[in-house]
Amino acid sequence: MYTIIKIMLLWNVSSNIISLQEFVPSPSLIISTLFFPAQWATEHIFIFYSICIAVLIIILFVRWNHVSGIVFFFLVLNLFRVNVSIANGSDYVLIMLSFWAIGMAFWPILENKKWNTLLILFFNAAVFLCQLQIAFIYLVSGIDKLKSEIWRSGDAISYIAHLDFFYNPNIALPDNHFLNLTLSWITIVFELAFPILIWMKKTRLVMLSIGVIFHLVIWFVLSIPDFGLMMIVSYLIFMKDSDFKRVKGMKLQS
Amino acid sequence: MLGPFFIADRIITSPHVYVSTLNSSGEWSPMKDVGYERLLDYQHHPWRLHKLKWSEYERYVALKAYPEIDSLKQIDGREGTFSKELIQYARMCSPADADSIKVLYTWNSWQVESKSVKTDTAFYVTFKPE
Repeated sequence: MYTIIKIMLLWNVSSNIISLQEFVPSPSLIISTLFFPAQWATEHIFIFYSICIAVLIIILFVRWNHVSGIVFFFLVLNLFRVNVSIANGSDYVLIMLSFWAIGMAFWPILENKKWNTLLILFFNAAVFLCQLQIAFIYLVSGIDKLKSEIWRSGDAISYIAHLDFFYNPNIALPDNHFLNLTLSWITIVFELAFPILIWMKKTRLVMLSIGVIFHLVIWFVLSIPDFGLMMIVSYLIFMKDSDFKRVKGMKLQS
Repeated sequence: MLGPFFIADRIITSPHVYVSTLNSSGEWSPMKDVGYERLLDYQHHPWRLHKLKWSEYERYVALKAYPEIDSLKQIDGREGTFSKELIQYARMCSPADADSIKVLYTWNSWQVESKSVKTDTAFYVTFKPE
């Protein structure tokens, strides 16, 4: 659904940009075959996007299986190649999620018990590796910030608040050293704590809730809505049945 | 491996692309920061995602063109793929009757101690649209 909305929102700008670009085919046969639809799209962008939306709608209504997973991954890769000049972190996260989603299929259920066990194993491994990769995004970012002088001193927040191609001018942040230091360390601590506390039953929902707020702030303050949304969507992979029940229970209580 | 995001190098400088055109009466128009105007438009109307993406594209193409056209005053698109793309983009942002186009690419960096913005020119080129 996210991919369909993104295509529709970017259709116009993407069609214009592709007319300005020169598509250089890769000398590698595997890569040029893999990205053949993207290369074809440079001449037929309208048909390419129409086909993508049609296929994505079919995938949305068909029971998720390994074949639809492969098709989805293939589409996401080609969409990325077509829009490489306007790609950001959200596109890389989507590629990663769509790759692991290939393994996340419960269907078809086979009669052979051994094959079914293998399928479940494959499913669980894909979910775990996907969770691990998301946790690593935070870990890598957290370690990088911890090593960075401007993040440790809080100056990073002051720099971000003056990134005029990024920062939303409708939101005023006072340039106060203590405030910058506090926000900077909240970011570092959250990014380092997430990969640890996300695995614990008691803290998982708390970390996901803080993460949602964290990414909503990035969405509105830093003008990267697709990255914020993509990261929030990726949190679903951490939700267990018991978590959904807990959320439902909290809702009923309130 | 994905990330890290918001690394120090990426948050210190703000790239800007300004475009000015020479009209038929021989006057240069004021420099216009097209990407920034689009970004402001998105920030006031958050549903206009295409405006945000245009401003992202502008930064991408200028950054990629920079190594190709560094230290040149005049370009014609033969410097490389991205300088050609930049010319096409600037032409798209300019009136159809523009005789010549100037593109100025700067990096603005915030100075924490003096609380001021320092501007560095990456390139300042002129070309004639075909």
